[in-house]
Amino acid sequence: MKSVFILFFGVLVSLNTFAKDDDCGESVDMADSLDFQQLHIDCADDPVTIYDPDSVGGFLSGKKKAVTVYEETKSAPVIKSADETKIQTMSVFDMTDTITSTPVKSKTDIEREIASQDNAGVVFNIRESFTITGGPQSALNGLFVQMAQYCPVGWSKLKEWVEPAQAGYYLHYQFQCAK
Amino acid sequence: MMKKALLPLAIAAVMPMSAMAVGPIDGKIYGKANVTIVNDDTDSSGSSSADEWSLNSNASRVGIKGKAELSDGFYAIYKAEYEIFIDDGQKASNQTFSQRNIYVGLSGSYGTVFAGKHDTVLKLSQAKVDLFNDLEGGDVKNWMSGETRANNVINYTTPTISGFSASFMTVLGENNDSTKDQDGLLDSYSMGVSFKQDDLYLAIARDENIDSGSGANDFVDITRLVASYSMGDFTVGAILQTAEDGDNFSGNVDNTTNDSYDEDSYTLSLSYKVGSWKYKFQYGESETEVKASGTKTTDEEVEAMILGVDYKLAKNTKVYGYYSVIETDNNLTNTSVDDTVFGVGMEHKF
Repeated sequence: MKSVFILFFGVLVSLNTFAKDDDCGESVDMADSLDFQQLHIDCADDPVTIYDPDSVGGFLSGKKKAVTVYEETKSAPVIKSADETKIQTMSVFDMTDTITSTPVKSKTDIEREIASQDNAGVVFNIRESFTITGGPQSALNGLFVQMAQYCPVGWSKLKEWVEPAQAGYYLHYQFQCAK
Repeated sequence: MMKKALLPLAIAAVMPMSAMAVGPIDGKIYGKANVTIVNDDTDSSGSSSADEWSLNSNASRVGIKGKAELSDGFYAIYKAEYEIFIDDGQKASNQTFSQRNIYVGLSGSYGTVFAGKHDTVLKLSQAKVDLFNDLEGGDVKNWMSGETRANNVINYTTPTISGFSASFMTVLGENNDSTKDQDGLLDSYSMGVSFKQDDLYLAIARDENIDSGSGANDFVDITRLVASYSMGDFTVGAILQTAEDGDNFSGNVDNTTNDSYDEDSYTLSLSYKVGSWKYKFQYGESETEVKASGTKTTDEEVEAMILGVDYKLAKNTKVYGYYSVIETDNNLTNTSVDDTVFGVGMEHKF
């Protein structure tokens, strides 16, 4: 029996070392494994990302913050083209406070501020206007320009939603810069 | 009238609960329901036979697991998994939920450390070689020691590096009886090294003075080798192990008694997938010899053969059937017992 063990161990340690990660399976199967990294981290689909700003209560309130780069106004917004509507305002606050108006900064201030910080993992809220007749394409173009500006190394879109404006709609994106 | 009076109370009772339910949790609920209709026919040579139909809940379970990122790449992790009993709603001891693997720990680039109640490293080292895991008459625990879930464990698992991973788990005996060696940090432990590359899996594991949950059902030392390899739709696997009495076997302390346990066992498995069908075959043998005060009290051989087929209805749902024969020969009494099990069942993972 000892010789079998020695032979087995020899085979085990002499194998080449270029292994690839296992594919993710069902959680219940991964839970019956010694690969805890795979279960909890590599293959986790736990809802750690905030999808619905309105549903965020105290449980995670200190965990995810979003940068809203437009100004919330109580009055009806003025619809602009994608080129015109870039960065209007910015503030950092808990997403439970998204209804609160925020101080307005100039575009250059914001760009300087954003450029000076590491945006890895930061969640942003942005928006662009569009009209039904014109379609959302111009808004999409503007949103992608902004996302590329804030997250030059990539991003993942967390949520999109639309709110009515007086002369059309706002297309909102919530996205997170790649880590 | 009564209803009106009770309504504000009902609302008041519900409101705090709904307020607490707001917001996401950093975890996920998972589990599986696995139920089988089984016919178990036991024939004992020269004596009796028994034939019984039963409904089995085969380690059906529900669990919650999750993590919270403490800093970049460094997590607090937890898991709480409970067995549920789809057949009669409770375990024999009137438990609606029976604890399975439960722990809290930390995980990061250095590996994972946790404490709680958990399957031993040796048990989990078999990975998916046991094709009839948790099924009556099919599970390797019918002829192999080492299928153990231990209390009071502290485990460390290294990160997987080039396919290699290692785990060390100490099991605290929490017994300060001076006649037993169960009060130390390393009186009982389970450890192993595994390697996985593409379709090849290899592992070697060792239990030292672990109170086995199968076979010996006592404190034993086990060395287990595991290998499996997939070639297209074929997968072959093998478990080879040897077990002997541990420091605390049969109340032994420092070999003050002359009790002993020796078991050699192995399992071979083969599966073949064709579309939604999966055909399975498993064969196992064990030889066990137990001595009390130097006198042989058990000398038996077990031979098990199981055939089965799964049919996938969907990604997470399958129906299956299996047929197993386990023959146990008692060499002391020259008697044998044939246990034949036929079952059809369904499994749904969520």
